[in-house]
Formats: sequence, C-alpha cells, structure tokens
Amino acid sequence: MSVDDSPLTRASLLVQLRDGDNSDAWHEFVRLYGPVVYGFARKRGLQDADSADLMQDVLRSVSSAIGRLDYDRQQGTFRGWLFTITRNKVFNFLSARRLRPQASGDTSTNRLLETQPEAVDGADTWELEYQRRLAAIAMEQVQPEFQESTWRAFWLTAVQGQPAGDVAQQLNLSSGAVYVAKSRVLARLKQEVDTLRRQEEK
Amino acid sequence: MAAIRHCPEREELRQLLDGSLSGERQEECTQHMDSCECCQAKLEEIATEGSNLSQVVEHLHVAVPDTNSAIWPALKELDNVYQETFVPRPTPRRGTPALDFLQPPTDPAYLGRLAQFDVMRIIGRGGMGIVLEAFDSRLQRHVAIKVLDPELAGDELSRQRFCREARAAASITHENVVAVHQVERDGGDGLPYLVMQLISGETLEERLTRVKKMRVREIVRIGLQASQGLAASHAQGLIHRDIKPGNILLEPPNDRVKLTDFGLARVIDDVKLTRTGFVTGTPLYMAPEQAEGEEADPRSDLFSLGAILYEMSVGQPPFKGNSALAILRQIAETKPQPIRELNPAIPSWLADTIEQLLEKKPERRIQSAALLAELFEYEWALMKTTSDEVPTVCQDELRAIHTRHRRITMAIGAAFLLFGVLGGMFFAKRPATPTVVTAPATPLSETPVSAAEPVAVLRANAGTVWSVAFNPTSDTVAMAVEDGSVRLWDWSSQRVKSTIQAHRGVVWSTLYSSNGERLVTAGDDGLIKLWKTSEKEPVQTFEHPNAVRGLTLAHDGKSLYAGVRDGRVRVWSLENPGQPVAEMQETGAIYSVALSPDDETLATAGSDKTIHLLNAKTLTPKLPLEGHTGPVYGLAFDPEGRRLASVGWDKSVRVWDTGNGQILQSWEGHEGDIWAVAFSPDGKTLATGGHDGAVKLWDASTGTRKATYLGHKTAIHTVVFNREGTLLASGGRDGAVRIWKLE
Repeated sequence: MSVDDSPLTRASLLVQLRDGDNSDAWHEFVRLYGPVVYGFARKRGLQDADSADLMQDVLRSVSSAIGRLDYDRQQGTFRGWLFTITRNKVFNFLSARRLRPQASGDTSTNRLLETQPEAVDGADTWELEYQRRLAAIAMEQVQPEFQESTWRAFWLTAVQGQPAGDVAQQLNLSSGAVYVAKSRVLARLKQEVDTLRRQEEK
Repeated sequence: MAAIRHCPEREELRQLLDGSLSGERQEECTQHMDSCECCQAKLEEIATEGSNLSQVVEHLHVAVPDTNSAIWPALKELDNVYQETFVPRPTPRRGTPALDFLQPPTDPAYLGRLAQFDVMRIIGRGGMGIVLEAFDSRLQRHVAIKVLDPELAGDELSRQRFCREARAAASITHENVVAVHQVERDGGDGLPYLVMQLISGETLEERLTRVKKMRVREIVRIGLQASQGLAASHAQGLIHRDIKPGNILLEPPNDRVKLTDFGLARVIDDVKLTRTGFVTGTPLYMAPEQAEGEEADPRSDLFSLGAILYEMSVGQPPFKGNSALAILRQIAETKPQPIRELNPAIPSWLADTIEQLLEKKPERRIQSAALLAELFEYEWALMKTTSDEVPTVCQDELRAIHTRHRRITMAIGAAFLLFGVLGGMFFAKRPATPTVVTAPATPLSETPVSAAEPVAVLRANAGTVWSVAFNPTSDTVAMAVEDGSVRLWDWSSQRVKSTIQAHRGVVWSTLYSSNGERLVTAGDDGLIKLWKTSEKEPVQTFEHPNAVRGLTLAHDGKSLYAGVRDGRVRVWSLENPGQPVAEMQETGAIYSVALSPDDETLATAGSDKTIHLLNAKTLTPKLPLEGHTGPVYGLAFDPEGRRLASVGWDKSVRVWDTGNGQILQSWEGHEGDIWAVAFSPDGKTLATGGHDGAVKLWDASTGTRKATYLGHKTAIHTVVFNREGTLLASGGRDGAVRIWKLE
C-alpha cells in the first residue's frame, strides 16, 4: 500500500494539538509517530543515536508548522507529509555523511547510499513501519483480554516465529489449539488496528 | 474422538474464531487443525481478513529498541517540546474584539483613543493583532495602527515577536512597502503598537476574487512592483515569510503595489527565535522548504510570489487540496500544471519565469528579488510601446490595453516623423554642427535625418525580430524571430529562401560563420544550435540552464561564447562539444556578449550595469567597465579591438578604451532605451537602434550624428552591418527587417 492512497492521519490529534493547551495530545502524537520515524531511520541505515536525534528533529519541525495550520477532515495527507520531512532529513543526513566520510568513518553508510539508489525514497518501508507501530499499540490494548496461554501461543508463533509444534509442546497444548489461539488473537488485533485507524480518520 | 476428515466450511472456521461453535464441534475442528495445513492457512486468512497483519506482527518484538537506546530520552525530551513551541491560540471569537485598552473617546464618533490617535474603526484582525484606522491628532493625518492582540499581550513570547516585527518593518523604506511611521508602547511599557501608512485600496486577494485571470500587463506590473518591494526588504536582511495576496495592497489610483504585514518577517541572523521555528507561511503560497519545517530564506519569498503570479495568470493557485496538509504535500512534491496549458495567452517568457520561481529547490529558482525585478523591468520596457505594426501574439491584448493611449502615441509618432523630415530638409542646406563630445543630447530638430527609404523591407510578421545577420556575400539575411524561427531571406528579391524552426520560444541571436556555410542560433530554450544552412536539423546543440541572450562566435570559427540569462558565461569548443571549455557566473542577467577581433577578450554586459572584460579562453576577469546607470543591452568591438561601444537602458552610447577601461566618448543617443549597437567594418561609424524606433549613425571618434533613419515605428532590437560596410540591416518589434544602403 502506498502512502498516497491510505486515508489516514491523526487528524483528531492534530486538531487537539493545534487548539492549544493539550500536552496529552502531543504526548500521544509523539508516542505514535516518534517510533515510526525512528524505525524508518534505522531501516535506512542510521545508528541508534542518530536516529533518535533525527526523530527529535522531525517532530520539532512538525510542531513548528502544526500550530498555525487549519485542519479539516480531509485526511490521507499528514503521514505523507511527515514521511516527506523524514525522508528528506534522512537523505540530508546520509548525503552529509557521504560528503565527509572521513569524519564519521562510516563506510556502511556510504555503501548504503551507493548500493541503494532507492534508499532516499522508501515509501513502502515507511508504510510498514507505521503499520507495525499501530500493531504494537493495538497489542498493548488487547493483551489483557486474553488468557496467558492464548497470548503466549500467539506471541511465540506469530511474533517470534517459532514452529507451532514446538510451541504446542512448550505450552502443553495441541498444535491445532495453538493455531486457533494465534488466529483468535490475530482476529482481535485486526479489529483493534482498524479501530485505531478509524479513530484517526475522525 | 476421531478427527474429522473433511475440512470445515468457511463459516465454521469463522465461528471457531469467535468461539460460537458448539463445544464438540469446536474440539473436532481444533483437532483438524493439528494436521491440515490448508485449514491452518485459511483460518489465519479469515482472522486477518486477508490483510498483511501476520507479516506486520512478525518479529515485532525485535523492533522495540532496547532499554538503553537513545530513543527513550529523546521521546521524553519531545514531551517538553510542546511547552516550548505551542503557544496556545485563542479560539476564534465572534463579534467585536475587546478594545478595553483604549482610552474613552474624545468624540462619540470615535471608538476610543490611544495616545494622540483617535480610533475610528477596526480594519481587520490578523494572527497577532488588530488593525485599526485612526486619526493622528498631532500630525493631522489618517493612519493604520496595528495593536498586539490584547488577549495575547500577556504572553511574553508574542510581545517580543511583535516588537521584533515592529523594528524590522520600520527599517524598510520603499514605495512598494507600506511605511511604518513609528513603534510605540501604550503608556511607555504597555501594549506595543505600530503606526503605519493607511492604504485605502483593496488587497490583491480581494481583487482576485473579483477578477480571476488578470491581464498580462497587470501581472507584469504587479510582479515588477512586488519584486522591487521584496528586493528592498531583502536588502535590509528581512524575509517576509508570508507573502500572500492578502498581504499585497493595491493603492489607488494606479493600483500601486504595497507589501504589508511583515508580521512574520524576522531578521535573518536572529537565531534565537528561528530555532524553535514557531511559525511559517500561509500554506497556499508557502515554499517547500517552509512546508517541510526548514528555514525560510529570501528565495522562499520568491517562491511565494511565484505562486501568486501563477494564480494571477491562470485563475487558480498552483497547489490545491482539500486540506492544509494536502496542499503542503503538493507544494513539497508535485509540479504545478504548466501555465500555458491553462492559459495560452500568457507569454512564454512570463510562464517560464513563474515556473522557475516555483522550483522546489531554492537554488534552482531565480536567485534574488533584485534579479527578478530587473527581468520584469526589462520586459515591462518592451511592453510600454505599442503600434499597429506590432505583429506579436500579444497584439490583441496590447490593443485592448492601449486603446486609450494609442491615439496619443501615434500622434506623437507622426509629429516626430514630420518634424524630423522637415528638420532634415532644412539642415541639408548647411553642414551639420558637430556635436560636442560628451555633451547632453542635442535637440532632435538640429540633427540630420535621412529621408532615405530602405532598399528592402523584409516582413516576417511573426513577432519581434531580435537578431539579424548578413551572410559573407551579403546576398542573404538571417532573421531571428520571436516565434522560434530563423528565416533566411534573399533580401534583394524580398523572398524567404528557407525557414528553420530553430528554438522553442524566442530566438535571441543568430550569426553566420565566416565562410557562410554555418549558422549559429541561440534561444530562450537555453540552447545554442549550429546549423548547416542547407539542412533542417542542427549539426550540434549546446545546452544551458536558462535562456541564452548573448551569443558570439570566434573569428577562427572554433569557439562559441554564450551569455545566459541566469548570469552564466560559457565557452564551447566546436571541435570538442561535450562540455563547456570554461564557465563563470556573473551577478545579473547577461544580455549581450562581444568578442575582440583577436579572439582574446570577451566582453559581457547585462543587468548589473557593469561591462566585464574577460580572458576569452579562461573567462578570468580582466577589467570591469563601470559607468552605465542601468542595464546594458548591446556591445560592439571596433575592428581593431581597441575600443568597445556599449548601449543600454540609460539611453547613452559609450565608447571605451579596452586597454585601460577609460570612457573615450559618451553621449545620449536616443529618446529611450538603446537596444543595439554595431561598429562599421572600417571602424569609423557606429550604428545604434533604439526604443524610439530610430536607427542612428554616429562618427565613432567624435560622437557626431551622421544620419538618422526612420521607418520602424517601434523599438529596434538589432542593427548590423554587412561585411563591406555598404549595407545596414535593422529589425525590431514591428516584425520586419529593413535594409539600408549606406553612402
């Protein structure tokens, strides 16, 4: 899915932000998008500290522009805009590295730039990072609804990628029960992710 | 219990997920899942509704940064950013804003009093303050007062910003910027306010709601004045940051442009506030770098002006969207629809200029407001004159605009012609008085005017002729026309031998090689093309990033020299055409280049008023020639290379000693701008062509006028001698070339 045609944004959050004294909205905003920016930067080859700096930089830029904008309900644009900012800052960062490689000695960065001409784009990476962030938030929300063994069956198979048979033995369940548990959690997660998305569309 | 052999139906799998199957059936199906891979996959597919959720959650645990990652403190710090940068905005209020900071009025007709100002009404309300109309009882004049919104006044940040704005705006004095008279604080330390010139007209925003597409002449005039106002503020180190139609006032009676609301302008080197970057421009006209939260620079204002010019040209802003964010993305990522697709009546130079202002990267835009103003000034000069003979596409438009002026213009033209001819007849009876060198212009009536008729008139009627060239045998004349064509005429029979579709847009220059077999052309499309006169396709093409205005060819035929509108100068080798041999950047647009006869010195001239003599091989500067008071349009070396003649906006003809840079002669040559100059092959005569439509011949060593040829009624852009010096060709705005026989 490309960034352009998914009608998603944290518009309701943005509206709250813009309307003024609402540090909760900002906190939630940072919590959702901060890791997306960070994750994207890491995927583009930046180190931990650089990614964290870049994340700060991007969100500060956003905060400076958001305050005065008038939002309407038409979405599908905010994440794309955030992506543009992030992508450009990553590109600038990598370009700066390339221009003075002796300063950083970071040859892997250079290699990245040379071997991945699409490194500066990465709309798919961005979208995936966003989906993963939404899923992570949804998982936090729904975990308390499940029994420990059901959750673990899901976690060990779907997230950690262990074979169902191994997990079944570990949890003393049948393989079939592991599959059913995994799918039940997935089904609930799907609902929750959709809800989160819908909230953003309001 | 035995596992069921048949796979459950899809509906049953769905029920298995939501737990609505009967206990027994549920166990059967779960057991079936132990071994049926097909159903395992199907179940997961139903659970995720065919989405990629399974892939999304895979290995999600490793995506969480570990506890000592820098992300955690960074996120924490970001929580505080909110406090730093989000100044709460007051919710929009209805009704009259609070005016309780005003003292009671001295007269019930007024709203109240502020120092010596009687406040009459509220003009408007902006992001930061209220604008009031008031009467200054001390100086007895009406003024506009901008008061910091009282509801924001408690906010120290707003107060500081307002004062900064006030100081910044007060430092600009320009006729295209609303004057700020004074900056005061109520009662010495109370509410800050700004006393400004009161402009009674409407804003461009209001104008644009009434008139969707504006006339070309209006667009150029507004563009010219707005860029002049911006140039003045940029010269003070101020960026407006929020150029939009609502900030452009049109002052009656002539709709003079007044830029206002430098409310967002900040001193460039003031880093403290810009670091937090609280505010950027209005989304519709915001530059990409502003939309992306980067710092604005003067070129950001130029982008915004470009967006406004675009809207004036086509009736809609370049970037549209249903939300501010949609617009921001468009600004950052998409190219606006070409202007001429939306409105073919916009001339290509204007469309190109606007599109260049809208370049995403600041370094690809026109680089300064001053340069933009010069460009508009130049084009404005071209538009000022009109005539029945103007055959350009704008003719109809010019007609419409000038219906009122035309009769007057023509009447003056006719008087000029009559007077000139009579004067010529009169003075034919006695020798012309030699003009004193460097004397001011001699009155027209005292100068010899030739009653001579041209020996040929070559009418292309396809637009302004910008350049003309004789072939070495003088039987053919090449004519470079505004419509992109170069026409080759057998001038004695006045027939077109062939037409070359040479360029997209104006052909600015054309030259013959010394053997006459090749023709070189330079165009508005940034290309120089080398042609065999017998062929329809160019032999070689040389690319430039902007229109090539100045062109010359080495006398040995091996090199080409280009003067580009963006200020670049390039040397090309015809033998090795891949890359320019040398390149250098000058500060203004270049309109003309000339090469000394020994091919050693290249002279360039253009909008920066200074003529530069350069080493023709390396382009290293040799000598600047300073003296012209405006843009220089034409250059010519004498056949020995010791003298250089130059003409331009300031109406003067100057002859320079190329050895020491001294002015040898200088005189006022025409009634208006002088566009073209040429040295006769014997070096004794100078020919000039001016905006007044006259071709004049001068004694090159004394500046005495030898003859004036009238025939073109409008601006002449090119004059050239043939190789023997027996013929002179002139061409210009009337779309024709006239060939004059010289005694």
